[in-house]
Amino acid sequence: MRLEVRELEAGYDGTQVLFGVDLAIGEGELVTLLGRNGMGKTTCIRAILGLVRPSSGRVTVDGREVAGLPPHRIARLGIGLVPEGRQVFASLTVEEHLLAVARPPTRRGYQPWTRDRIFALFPRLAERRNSRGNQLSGGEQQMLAIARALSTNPELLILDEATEGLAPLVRREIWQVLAELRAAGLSILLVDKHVEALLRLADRHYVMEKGRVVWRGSTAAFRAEPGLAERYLGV
Amino acid sequence: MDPLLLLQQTLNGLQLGVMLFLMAAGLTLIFGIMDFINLAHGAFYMLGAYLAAWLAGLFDAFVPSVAVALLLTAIVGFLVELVVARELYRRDHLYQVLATFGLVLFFDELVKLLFGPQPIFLEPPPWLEGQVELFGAPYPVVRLAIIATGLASAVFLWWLIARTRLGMLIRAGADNREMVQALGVDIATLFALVFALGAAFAALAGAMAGTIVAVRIGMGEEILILTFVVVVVGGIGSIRGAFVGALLVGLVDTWGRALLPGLLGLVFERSVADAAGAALAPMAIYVLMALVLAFRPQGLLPARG
Repeated sequence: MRLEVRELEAGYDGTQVLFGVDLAIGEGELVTLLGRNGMGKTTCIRAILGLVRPSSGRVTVDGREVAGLPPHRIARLGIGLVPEGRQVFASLTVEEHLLAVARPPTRRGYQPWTRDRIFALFPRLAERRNSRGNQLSGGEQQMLAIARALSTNPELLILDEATEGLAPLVRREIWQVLAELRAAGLSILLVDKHVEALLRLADRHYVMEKGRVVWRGSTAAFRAEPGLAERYLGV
Repeated sequence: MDPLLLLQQTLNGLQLGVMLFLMAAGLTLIFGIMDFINLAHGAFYMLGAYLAAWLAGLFDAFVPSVAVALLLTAIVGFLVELVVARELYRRDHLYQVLATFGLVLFFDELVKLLFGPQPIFLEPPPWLEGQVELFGAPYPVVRLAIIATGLASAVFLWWLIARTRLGMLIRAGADNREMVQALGVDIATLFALVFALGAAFAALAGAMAGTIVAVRIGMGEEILILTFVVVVVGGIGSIRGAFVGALLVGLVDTWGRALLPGLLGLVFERSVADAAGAALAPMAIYVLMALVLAFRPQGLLPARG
């Protein structure tokens, strides 16, 4: 799948947040969206998925315009969301999470994410299969949020604040899983604060400031530009 | 206190309770998931009773008539969601109350046009007539049948919510509507289904009521008020809460009416006790609600937490 965003503008109740965002994620790519808090990363993700209605600009999935479609139609084209704050369902068990929103893959030859395959990826979730969402630790919730998105058999996974508030060990586990997913052929759009880990993991990066993409480039280009991280990310 | 009278009144309370549960289940789901106040829920109750009575009069087949009445009311519920409710989810509760109150008036007039202003009756079939002996006291079969049907419906609803994929989505939708959408579920259709399901349950309660009291315009409004008390007592959005709240309200209301005059008679003169008892009994459930609100404002078994 190829997702393309052009000149995207969006906001809430008359307050504009995005002022023309351009980005693209190609088949099997792992791309990050970087930037300080409040720069529009989450709004950008929400606008891609139709959770915020873009006021102008284009969002295309494999060339097909999706801006203005209801969120479930956009998701059904093969986008799986792992939202900020995880947002697992408090009253559903782990197993129910994987059943409730599951759907078959849209593309032929896609190896489907069965329950067993998901449990093989997250053995911890298999152990906690009968626990409810609100009984899980933060790390388990993040795994469940990823697992839940995988149960929809997506081609593109979008993770907003993938490791926020997680212990270093759990964080490493999430990075490991993302590397495996990428190796399995998924495209991934990743938002996170741990730039070093992201540089090791991703192909390309977009840096957002005040609702615009102010820098884009490969990992090598990012490393080659001193001061970039301090200037835009405050690290 | 006569133990047989107490038993009879307890059964009557249960019977009112299960009817209230059927009403409250739909109302609490719709409120819990969609944050939508539906004053027209009583109209589904009335419509179910009228359709069942009308069909049973035409075809002389009780169970199929009730079944078709449920189906028709479910379709009406689906259409009401599509045409009216869907426009109102994003609005303030005041708009919802105004619009659905308009629906109450609309359905009352519609029923008057279709079936006339006179009350009609839903004759229970012969196999539900008569009485059975319970511990030596006679009790109407039809009321026992209502209790049994109500409990069976509660089990069905528990199974639907706890064990089916639709139930999982309903619970997930109540937890986090937006996330369900973002994961590819058409929440609008899900809501319409829940609305139709709630309408069918209300129609079942109405048809049950039709076998013991006259089917008339305005019957929906009376039970709706009790139903809101149930939803508040049980905890908004909670099916378990609706069940416990409904039985509690049914029992407290029935016991209050039957036993309060006698209890007051222990203290006061007979005539005073009767008058005071009759005046105080209808307040009992509101006192219950006030107590619940004072000590557990979220209800007895809230949906979350």
